[in-house]
Amino acid sequence: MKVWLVAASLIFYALGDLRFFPIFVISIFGNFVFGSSIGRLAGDESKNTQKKVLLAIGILANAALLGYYKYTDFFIENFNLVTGMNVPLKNIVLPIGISFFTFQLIAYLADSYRGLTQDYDILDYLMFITFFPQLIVGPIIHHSEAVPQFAAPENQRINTKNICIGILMFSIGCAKKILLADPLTELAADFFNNISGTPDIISSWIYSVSYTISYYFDLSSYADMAVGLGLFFNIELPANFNSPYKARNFQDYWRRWHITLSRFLSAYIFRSWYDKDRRLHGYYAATMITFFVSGFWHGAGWTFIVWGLVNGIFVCAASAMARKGKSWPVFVSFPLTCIGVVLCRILFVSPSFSAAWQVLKGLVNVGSVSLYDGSAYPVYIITLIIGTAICWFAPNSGRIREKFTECLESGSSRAYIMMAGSAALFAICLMSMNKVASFLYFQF
Amino acid sequence: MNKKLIISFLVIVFAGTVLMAGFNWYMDIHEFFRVRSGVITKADYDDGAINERMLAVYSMRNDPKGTYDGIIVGGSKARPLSGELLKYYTGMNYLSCAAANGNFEYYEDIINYAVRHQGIRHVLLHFSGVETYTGLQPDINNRVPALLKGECQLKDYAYYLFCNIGDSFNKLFDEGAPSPEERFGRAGHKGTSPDDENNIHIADYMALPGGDWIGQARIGSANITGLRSYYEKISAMGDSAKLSWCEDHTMAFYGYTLEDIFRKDKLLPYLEDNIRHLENIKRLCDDNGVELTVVIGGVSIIERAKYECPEYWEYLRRICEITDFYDFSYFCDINNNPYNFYTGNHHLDTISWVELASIYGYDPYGYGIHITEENINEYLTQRSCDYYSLQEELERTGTLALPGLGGESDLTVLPQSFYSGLITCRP
Repeated sequence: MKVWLVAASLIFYALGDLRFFPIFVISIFGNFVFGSSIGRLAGDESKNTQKKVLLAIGILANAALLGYYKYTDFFIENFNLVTGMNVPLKNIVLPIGISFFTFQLIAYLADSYRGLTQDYDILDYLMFITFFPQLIVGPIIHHSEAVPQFAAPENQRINTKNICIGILMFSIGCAKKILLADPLTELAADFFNNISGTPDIISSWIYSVSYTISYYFDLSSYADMAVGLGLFFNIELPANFNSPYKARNFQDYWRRWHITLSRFLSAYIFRSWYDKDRRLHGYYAATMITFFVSGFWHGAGWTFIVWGLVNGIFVCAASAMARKGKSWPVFVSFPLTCIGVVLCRILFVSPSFSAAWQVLKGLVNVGSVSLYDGSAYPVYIITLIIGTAICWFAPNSGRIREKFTECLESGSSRAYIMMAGSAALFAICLMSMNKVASFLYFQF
Repeated sequence: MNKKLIISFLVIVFAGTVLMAGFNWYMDIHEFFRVRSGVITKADYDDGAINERMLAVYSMRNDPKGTYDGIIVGGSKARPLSGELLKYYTGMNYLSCAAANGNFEYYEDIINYAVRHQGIRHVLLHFSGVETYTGLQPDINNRVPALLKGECQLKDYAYYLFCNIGDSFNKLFDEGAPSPEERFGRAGHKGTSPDDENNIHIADYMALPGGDWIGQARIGSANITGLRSYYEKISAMGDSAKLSWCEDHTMAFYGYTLEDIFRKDKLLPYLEDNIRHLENIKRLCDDNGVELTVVIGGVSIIERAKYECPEYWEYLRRICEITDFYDFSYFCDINNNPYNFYTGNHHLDTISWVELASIYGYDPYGYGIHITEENINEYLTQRSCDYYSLQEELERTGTLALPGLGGESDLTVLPQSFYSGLITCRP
């Protein structure tokens, strides 16, 4: 089964874009060679220098690969800006999933150095990297949670309970993507891509909130589908979102948003800085560095970097308040966090600082109410209201899954109702497939 | 229980999908099933909810071989070139295969299909520079039919049966599309770029020649030639409405487009593809004894901002190496007057009619140049001189003193009677 799954996953990757398949294969095998070599030296104190050199080469090679594909044009643009030269851009196409699997590979190398990967055989390693549900857009899984599952013999049998839960999760993910994320993204993306001058206040708010909501549904839909697909093979992938828009401050928000990315950055970036200096300012510095890396990872542009830093400041502020034992009441902290998230999202999705600034000005462009052109049609507004209500008031897919599992285990007839609901959702999604857009995180 | 749940899921999904596919088939909002069986209503056609590529290829498939002696191929600019009008000049029967968002791949495919299935003798290929910078947009109305590609038609069946169920529901509850007059009330909204035609409602202003047309007609019959035109609606407007239309849909982009005309870093990713397809088209026509008339249509000063540059001129030279062509895209008063264009990318129908007249030697306006290997160098030199002289004018004065901007703004620079005038000129 493992060989079959690895082969299927590699074919899945190759179908995305065959050009990058050789790079992908070389990268995963190269990292295995490095990881194994480092792992073999793990118990030998006398070879620490050799280990460090191998680790440094491995990490640098991964970073260089990611840097070349993702950041070359960014550096050329900035070089041109500083020197006044006109070096032509390379317009390099980003290999699918490189941002995600590079993180997993770096984590694998770092843990090989710590002697945590010695027992892995190549098949389990290949499964960990290539397992198709998480290959393209995450969740970013850690080898310690994935490899034991791949190795467990009981996971290589058909488990109908897991299949039922997988179907439910996959259907929820499909519905989030096709019925909520795509319709909301369509007009919002148009709006942000065509900013010329300060937009009116109504459009600014509608499309900024729309993009904020649609981003959540888009990302979490893929995470739900990945979890569902993983369960078909008895693999438990980690949850990536936990109702982030119910957060009451930015620390809370980042514990709920893109959890596996935050976990990775926390373990490999934040910790490595914070462990060097455990004083208060060391904490803030480590936080800011972590969010700088997060911003730069999200996109090769200054808007992304500033977005990361702004989030870092908000997190530091929330942390400072928590340290002093201060907190605002929910009716203040909740709306403030929501507004902060929307403002950050504006920065994230705007093609430039000036476009972001125009939209921010549009949010307070009070005199422009009459200029609203009615471009957000009624169904769009209804979708936005439903989407917002789901974010704030509905149980998230993790909770629904827990409820469904309880019903399954107790033999409750509610399981049939929930399954019928997911079947209906899935059938509707099937009939809307011709309008599906790419996942927003594909670009990262 | 788990197995029962999985089976019930599959049964519900299957039953639901069949039901919804049946509903899509019944509503047939994209007209695939009706067009396939050879029936289309005028309402469907006017609505713009029709895939013109599909219409063209099924017209040729449904009608007996030899129904058409020739075809008119092009993008949206070629829509006003009616088969009836061309027939006055050549005496042959034409089907217009003009399709929105035209691209060279489609041009090659449809000519290939026409040669194989209709045995045509003449192709009038009409395009502009737009095809150099934009490819086929992924819109359902631009979808390339499997039949055109020689692929299995089951692909089309699956696509239209499983298309968005929400659209079919919308159609069911649609209380009837607003009249063009009602829609015209919305036409004052400005888009945000010259290409933004979402707010222009092109489909609202399409009209067929011959006035009322009630009920159903066979596609491919004389009534449908592919002509979709603004002529009737715009000519029916009062002077102030015409001016306001032009102000909103063409002039709105004029000011901030001027500097872009002279930008050097224009991205023209389709040049090589276009040349390759044109070579194929020329070879196909030569091999099958088909006369190929290539026309580069009139373009507004606004449209030039996207592609007018030395690289584009070199592209014109390469076109000339493949075939001679009739050019209407050079710098001249007709093209430079923004009021001759109802959007940044679309000229008035009257310009299309003059183009045909010019090609066949009846043009009283001196519009158009027949480009051959003998005059291409002279032509390109003049074009680049005109370009740089406009650039110099812009740098010196901050604007361009284009015709039509000095107060003589008028949508009907070319007389509306020209159409009927042409008919009397029939050879």
